[in-house]
Amino acid sequence: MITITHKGQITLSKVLLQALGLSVGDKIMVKVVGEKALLEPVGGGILDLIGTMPKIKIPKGKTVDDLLHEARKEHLEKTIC
Amino acid sequence: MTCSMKQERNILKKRFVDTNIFIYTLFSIDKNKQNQCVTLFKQAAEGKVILWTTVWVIAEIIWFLQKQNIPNKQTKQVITRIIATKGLEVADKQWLLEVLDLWEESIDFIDIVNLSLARAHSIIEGYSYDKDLDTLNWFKRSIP
Repeated sequence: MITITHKGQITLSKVLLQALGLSVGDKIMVKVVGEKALLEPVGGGILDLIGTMPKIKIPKGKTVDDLLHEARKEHLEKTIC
Repeated sequence: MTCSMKQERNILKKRFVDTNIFIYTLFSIDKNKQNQCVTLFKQAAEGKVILWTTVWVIAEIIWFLQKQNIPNKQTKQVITRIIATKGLEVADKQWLLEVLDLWEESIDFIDIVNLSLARAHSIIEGYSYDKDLDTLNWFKRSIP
């Protein structure tokens, strides 16, 4: 059992951290599911996503920023239509 | 102040991260740039640099992912992971996580950003021609 401090903080035991494969500085997501709280390790962030995304091709003569500008423009057009 | 102290202070200044850095990290578009970006995020994870970004950068990443036809459910997971990156601070992170929680398939991310801001100001009614907003049961849409 864990006690909540005045600041709303809790301390996770070493055993619990080890079981979850967590260490200092790691991040966890806290979600409320019904009447329970779910702690979910979120891993190494963006570095864990490398290699998981689909391959994309940038049209010749365009840059990522060109595509970003297009995405922004398309979004705005969609909003107004 | 010694030279090494000056260097340390300089390294630990917060540095803004633009959308294209995240895109080059996620996608293998340019191996050289991807390696540079990965190195930057590794340095952040090791505490050598503090990175900082905004909700608008996150919105641009979302639009880019949508343009690549990545489903909203996967986009949500990607954004959650990005926000959890060690050494990366996202302005108003807690609020952004709540926005992501509220974000559903049928509605635009920026609509949720705007309406959750409105709700934070106790505004739950408003004007729009966007019928997608009707999917939110906590917001009452009207037309002028």
